[in-house]
Amino acid sequence: MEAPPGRGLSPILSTGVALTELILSNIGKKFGSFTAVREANLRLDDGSFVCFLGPSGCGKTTLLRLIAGLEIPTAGEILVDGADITRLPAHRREIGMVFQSLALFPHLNVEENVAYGMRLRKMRKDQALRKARELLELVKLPHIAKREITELSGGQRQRVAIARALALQPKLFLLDEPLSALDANLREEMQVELKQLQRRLGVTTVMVTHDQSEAMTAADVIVVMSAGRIEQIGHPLDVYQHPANRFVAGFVGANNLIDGVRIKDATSVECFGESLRVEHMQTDVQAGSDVTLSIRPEDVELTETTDGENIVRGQVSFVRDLGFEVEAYVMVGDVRLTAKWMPKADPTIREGDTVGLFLDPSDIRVHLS
Amino acid sequence: MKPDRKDAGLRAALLSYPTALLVFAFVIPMGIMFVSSFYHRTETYYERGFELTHYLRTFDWLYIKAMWTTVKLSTIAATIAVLLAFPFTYFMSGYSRRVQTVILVVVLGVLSLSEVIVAFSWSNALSRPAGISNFFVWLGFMERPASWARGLPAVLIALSYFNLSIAILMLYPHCTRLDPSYVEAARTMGTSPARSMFKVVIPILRKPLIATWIVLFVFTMGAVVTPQWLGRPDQWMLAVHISKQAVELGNIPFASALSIVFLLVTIAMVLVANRFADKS
Repeated sequence: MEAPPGRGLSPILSTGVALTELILSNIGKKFGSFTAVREANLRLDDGSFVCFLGPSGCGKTTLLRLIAGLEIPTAGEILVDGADITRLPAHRREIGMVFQSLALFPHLNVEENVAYGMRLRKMRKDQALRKARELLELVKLPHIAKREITELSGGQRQRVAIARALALQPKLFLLDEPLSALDANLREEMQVELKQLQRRLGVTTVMVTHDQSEAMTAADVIVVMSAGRIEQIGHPLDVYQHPANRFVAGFVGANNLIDGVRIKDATSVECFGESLRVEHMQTDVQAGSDVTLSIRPEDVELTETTDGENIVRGQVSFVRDLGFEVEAYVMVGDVRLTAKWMPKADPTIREGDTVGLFLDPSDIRVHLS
Repeated sequence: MKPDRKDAGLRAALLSYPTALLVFAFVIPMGIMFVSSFYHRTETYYERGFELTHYLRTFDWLYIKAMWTTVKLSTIAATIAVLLAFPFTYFMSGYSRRVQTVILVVVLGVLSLSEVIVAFSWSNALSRPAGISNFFVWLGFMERPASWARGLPAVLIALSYFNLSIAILMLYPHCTRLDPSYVEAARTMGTSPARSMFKVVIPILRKPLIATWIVLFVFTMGAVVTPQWLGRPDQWMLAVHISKQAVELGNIPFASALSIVFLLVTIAMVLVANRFADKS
């Protein structure tokens, strides 16, 4: 039961927050001989929140900068609401961007920073400053309008940068690792707040991050990238539960990756010298081909018995109780599997114990090597 | 106990070093100059005494005019150098590291030349027989070569030329350290690249720019060789008159008095310029 985007805000903010559709078609970007982004295809719906997720150097920031117009692609085109903006310079695109370094202007105070874009468009000073106040209220900082940038804490700067980026009611709201400078607690708080703010405003948003929990918190759609390529596009939970390939399985969330597995037939694989049944087998794999299995730590179940279908034997090498969950490393041959469970389930195990691990056929994912 | 006391002694010695240097290098020589500015000039040299005659003489129209010329030329030469050096340095910071290093070495090379060599080179380059005007004649812009080697333009060119290297070296770290996101952020808010220079880059670098201007101004104030070689007597800056009094005429008390006045004017000018840097 959510209010439609834009409702309940002051008129100055709600009017003109147009919903925007963004299409990237075969986008490529080369820097000299280095290919930063290759054949990126993406379609963002009106008002959605998209996260580009990937390790550093995967091209996610370059892709964001291409959308912003700070770089011009070497191939493909970018469409906003049907209009081709591929070669339009940044200052003519209607975007609001939060930079990793935030880039708040040190020669202006907080409200002047927020009002910068409006003043540039010749809005009257009192009007621009009044709107700047409203934006600061939106990010819960109405009391610091007159402060200098150097007097602000990291979290406050963050919010001011967000307010400034939203000031011109951009068609696209872009964020480049905006929370990376904050400490863990504050970062989590800001993730939630950012998501709520975006929902209220309904502005189409793209955020770059290397933090998968940040992506899962904020995004409607996650775009996983590696080495300049888009590896998977999907709903956060879908990406988590059905990673498209070995890279995504290893990058998004903690996972057990088991290499050197061989396909036996349509429903089973050879692993740890045993036959394991798997349910989610891709149809195009051939018997005898090498694959990698992945199974989430929370899906690895400790069992009393060490025999039975889909049960492998291993030796516990390390146990830690984090209070909200217990984690154990179990060596199966020379492969280390991690198992996690809630403390209340409480199987008492110790380091050195021999245990059985049940790998549920429906929880095992099979990736071509 | 013993090592502690030794440490404390060492600490005290190290901490008193700045004070000691200040006293020996600045306070004592200045004090001597200040005292001798009140001494009595004799036929042959000078003797101890206390008189204000030398200070009264500094109000001679000749020296007031020279002071005005000095402030004027220093202001212009510092301003020209900053105006030329800033865009140069800013755009240079976008080049590759290797190119930057080459440029800095060249700039440093210019700085290693003494004022004498710079003044001499320019007097040659602006002269009739070997100067740039021959090149313009060759290009067909001029009928016959001319001598530009003496006069205000020659003085300003040589002073600004020397200042240019200092300005580049002073602005270089600030330009390379400037976060490129500032300009990009301005662009995403609708600022064209040209406009962002005036809306963002220059305001952010205002303090280093003014600091550079002040250093150049102070350096230029003390110029002796350049105005003397390339200027006519009405472009002689105060330092020329001071050196003439001290070296040629041996009038140490008067040279001291002129120097003290000169110092006070320089400090006053720096304070004024500093006001601009602090004002936001």
